[in-house]
Amino acid sequence: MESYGIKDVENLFLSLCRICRENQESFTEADSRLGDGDMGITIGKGAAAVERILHDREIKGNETEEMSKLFMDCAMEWNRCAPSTLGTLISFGMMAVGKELNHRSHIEEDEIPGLVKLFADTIATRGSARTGDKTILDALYPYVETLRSCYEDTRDLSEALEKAAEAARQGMERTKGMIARTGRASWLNTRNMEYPDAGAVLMATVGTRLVGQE
Amino acid sequence: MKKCMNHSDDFVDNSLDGIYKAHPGFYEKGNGNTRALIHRSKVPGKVSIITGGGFGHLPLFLGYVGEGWCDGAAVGNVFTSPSCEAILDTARSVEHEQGILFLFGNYFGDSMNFQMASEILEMEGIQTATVKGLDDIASASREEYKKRRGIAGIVYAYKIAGAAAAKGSSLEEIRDLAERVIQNTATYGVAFSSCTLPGAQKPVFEIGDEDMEIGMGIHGEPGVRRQKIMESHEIAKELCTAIVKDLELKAGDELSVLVNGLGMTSREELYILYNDVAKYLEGLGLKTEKVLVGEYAASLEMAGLSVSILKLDKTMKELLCAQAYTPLIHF
Repeated sequence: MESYGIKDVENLFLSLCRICRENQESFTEADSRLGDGDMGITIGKGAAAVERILHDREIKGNETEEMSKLFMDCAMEWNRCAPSTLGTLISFGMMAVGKELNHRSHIEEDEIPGLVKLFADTIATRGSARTGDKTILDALYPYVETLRSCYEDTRDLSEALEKAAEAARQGMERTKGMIARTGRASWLNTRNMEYPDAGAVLMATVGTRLVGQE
Repeated sequence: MKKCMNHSDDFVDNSLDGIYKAHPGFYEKGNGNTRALIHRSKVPGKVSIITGGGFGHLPLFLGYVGEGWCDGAAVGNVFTSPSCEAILDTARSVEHEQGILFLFGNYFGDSMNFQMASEILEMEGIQTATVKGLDDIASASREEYKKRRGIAGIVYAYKIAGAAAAKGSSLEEIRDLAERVIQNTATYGVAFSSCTLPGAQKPVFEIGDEDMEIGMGIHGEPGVRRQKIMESHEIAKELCTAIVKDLELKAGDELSVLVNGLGMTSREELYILYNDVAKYLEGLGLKTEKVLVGEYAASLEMAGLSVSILKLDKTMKELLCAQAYTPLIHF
């Protein structure tokens, strides 16, 4: 079974940041239908900031560090530049994962589905939302569930990540036509309900692009 | 929308730099962070009160940092929560072993960032308590008042909690007092026109030239209803009726009344409304002990106003009238 070190996690974060930046226009468009249209800019700023501190770490060569510090540093930096509601929830999720990993320097492959679930559960609890409310959770929970079940069946993480991405996309599609039950979008009630939730678009995009698909 | 600014990205920081330059020696940056405005750091034996929120509501929030007021304010972008880092820089720069009261308006983003900051500070051994402004009666019923948004009425909690902290009350006492003030404060307002975020092409919401919206929030959150504009005495009656009912006020009760302008409504108009408010309250046999008329919690250049009433008790009355100073408002 594969084991992942600090460097691997840093590379994962760099990939996630790049995906966020490269797709920020589409997040802005999705958010302008139902939110206040600042999501693309916020996510882009947060991603650029995290890339900067990861780059600084590389220069300093912090290879022996603990997972908790890596996650905490990235979460705080992300929050500093992206303190919107969704941005802050993502920081909370990252901090919870960091806290769980604590002083460790490696993550075992079979822990990954559980850590992604912890991330999702933290966002749900902190945000007082659940699936069906038309939020990021409508794409994130299908991702979590599929990642877990597929990994348990196949013990193949790559395959599980691909299937999970597909589930996230389907979850995002299902938010079209939902009435938002939380956040700014809920003020619109049925207006623009035919559009997908911007947080779900973010999750579907990140999941899909992470496994190299368009 | 025409605005006096340089680049819209620098709107908040340019404005804050102006505040630091205009009031040197009174305001300083906590930990060198422009977004962490503090008055004096580390006063021995005093509980620290820290507020914060999005920019665009001046004098809220940072204008309530001063002598006998809050000790610091974390500042976010326009209409956006401050970051956890800004809150931490503010908190760590003023806290002096007596703990911190976080006092801010009940909005989702702010609540989460202050929550994150409290958890981090608790890990460092710094005690915190949180009280949220919950005075906007348009946003939820009295039964569910903990869901209400915080608007102009938070000013009363700042004043009274600030005076209690200056007197040396404990964190627990100040928290309980601030909660009692907020429970006894109700605000209701009307909006006549919208505001535009710096750099944005369109206003936050659209409203017809002849219309007004009752109960609109200070970021353009939808209100209770939209209708043709009313005369001042009708607005006064509409707003006061709802507030009197919400606070269950009865003849003989002592109050403080705050008529607040949202940014573009003239003082002249605010006094016209106050005249009508005063007549209405006198008619019910209510005793107004302290009156505030002016801009206390704005919403950029939104036109409109709100009325806040605090039902006073003896402690509150005394602390409300205690000496206090901040360069941004008169109280």
